Amino acid sequence: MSMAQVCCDSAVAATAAPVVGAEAEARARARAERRSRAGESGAWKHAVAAGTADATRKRSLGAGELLVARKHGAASVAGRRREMEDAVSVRDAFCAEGTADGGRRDFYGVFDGHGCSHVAEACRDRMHELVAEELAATAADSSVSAAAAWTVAMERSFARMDAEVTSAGGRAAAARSSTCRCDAHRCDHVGSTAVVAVVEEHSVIVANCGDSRAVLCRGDGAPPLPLSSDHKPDRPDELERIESAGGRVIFWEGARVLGVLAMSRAVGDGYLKPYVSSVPEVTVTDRSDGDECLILGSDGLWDVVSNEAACEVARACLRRGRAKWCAEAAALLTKLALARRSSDNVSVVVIDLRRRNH
Amino acid sequence: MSIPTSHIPIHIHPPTPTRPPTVFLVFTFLTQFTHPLTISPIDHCCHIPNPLPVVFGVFPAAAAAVAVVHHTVPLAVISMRERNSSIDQEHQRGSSSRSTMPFAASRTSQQQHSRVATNGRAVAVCAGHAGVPDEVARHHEHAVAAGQCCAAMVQSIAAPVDAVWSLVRRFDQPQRYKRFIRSCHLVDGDGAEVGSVRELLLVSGLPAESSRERLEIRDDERRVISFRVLGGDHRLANYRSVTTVHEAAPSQDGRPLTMVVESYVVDVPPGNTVEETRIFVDTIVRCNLQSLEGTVIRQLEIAAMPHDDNQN
Repeated sequence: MSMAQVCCDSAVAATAAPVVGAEAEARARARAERRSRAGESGAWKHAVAAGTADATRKRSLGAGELLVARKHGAASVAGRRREMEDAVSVRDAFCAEGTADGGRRDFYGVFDGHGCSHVAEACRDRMHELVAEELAATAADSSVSAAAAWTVAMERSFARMDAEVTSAGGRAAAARSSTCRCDAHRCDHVGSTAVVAVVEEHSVIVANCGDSRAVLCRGDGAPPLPLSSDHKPDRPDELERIESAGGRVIFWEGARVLGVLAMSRAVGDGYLKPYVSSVPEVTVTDRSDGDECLILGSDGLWDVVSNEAACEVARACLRRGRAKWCAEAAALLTKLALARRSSDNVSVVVIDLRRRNH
Repeated sequence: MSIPTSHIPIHIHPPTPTRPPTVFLVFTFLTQFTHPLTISPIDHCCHIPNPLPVVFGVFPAAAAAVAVVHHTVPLAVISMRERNSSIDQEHQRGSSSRSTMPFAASRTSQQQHSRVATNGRAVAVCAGHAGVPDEVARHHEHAVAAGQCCAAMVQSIAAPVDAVWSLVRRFDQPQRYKRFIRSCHLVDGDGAEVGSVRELLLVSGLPAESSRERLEIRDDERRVISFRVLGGDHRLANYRSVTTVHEAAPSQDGRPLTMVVESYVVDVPPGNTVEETRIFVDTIVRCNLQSLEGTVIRQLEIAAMPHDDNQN
């Protein structure tokens, strides 16, 4: 089992095969024992991102102007958790429907699974396709505003994603391609967060479900702008929604829905419906000339690194002036989370939002 | 011996000499499954309840939590037995061996409680069933101490009783039908004999990582299985579970119907209430019972179409 995955551009490294066989299981247990014995003195290895390839994609527009794919970097590491259950999705120009002015749309997603990895993997493989389909459907309806159209498209995409991972047929289909060995009919205790960003020429659209997060780093020392709000069970409006539905939030090693799950929204988790909802919160934010980057991360990052600290790390990498600064920032943020004893998988995507980024 | 089952509201009253048969039944069961025990029913009938405030503090909340869910009916099994010195000694030895386990707090107080029961039977709230049969109900009577809570849940499954029991009885492979288990390893015994111990590693996302459990009862004739939690990384100290599987009266269409009853008793963790503890445990138990139903039905469907590859 590989401890880290690093991906740049559109390529997402295949997840290592699961541990199989008694001997492998014994080795895994021995590793876990050594890890627990190491405790505070444990040393963690992390693969540094190989770096973003320069100008991997170009597209010709109108008067011969070249549009270069947005630079980005992504890093994922299992960290102290025994299993890697995070997934990252990067899809350049994922949607055939361009924006009104002919610009391109890029899709980025971070999915933090729990219970098993296959729901997060299904999100990685399918969420961008569902968003593209719903955008095409919504584009046909010109009676709604842009922000409302995005909300409708994202809510439908998340609902379809949730239906796919909670229906037996969908799970069975996903199980054939996933790396886990769950029985497709006994998986409704598995779920995933989903924080999704679509970057256009003039806007950044974020849809979030769960406790992963998207943060916009604006320039000139401006404070970071959260584009999502964490869905924790004790957030006042979430607490009210859960209890109105007949559920309970119980403090059991943190606030948990029915004492079991530490987030109030997720894709999957059929056994906790309707208390754990898959409806995303959607924000549409105009881009400005001074924007530096967008950071998507799982709670393994944000639990131990503040928005301000993350932006400072990204800014420091940007100031070095290297072409691969996004990949370096993603790798460095992952290392920082591990150094601060994050107890979870850590996944980070950093997207260059500067206007002239080539 | 026949004692009528009734739905008398739960109340506390000192036992009277007119109920020796019930007391005798309870202890007969206890003797049969756990350890030799000499009890004089007459002596225990005369015991004076003490302390009452503790009793009131625990059970009204448990009773209030009873609710009806389709095919999953919580039962409030509130039943206490007088403690005999042999039981106390057994408990002391158990406490000693568990003292090094995380979250396996030992009970330091030896409480004497009076009987709180409706003729010693489980109180069933289920419109679809006249009540849990006597033979099954007595397996689900737990000795409940101060600071503990207990409950029972029922799952009806439209399947033959043997198909259900063959899954439930596997102490060594609970993950064949239970959720939340990543792996199970026997660390003592062969999984079939009483006293076997298993170590469960649990999936992520839960407020628990592992659980070490001992097989207390496994009776293939009566279809009873029970385990006790010895330790692990969780907050459910002194958890004990009993699961029974029995044949229910066939439904109108004559198809087989099996009733699974799972009851448990557990310490209420510090900082939580009885109600919260029950909500947490019931969520897990209910999920597992529903998974059991789904697993059995799926197995029967596959067996009925052995040559259809699409089913696998």
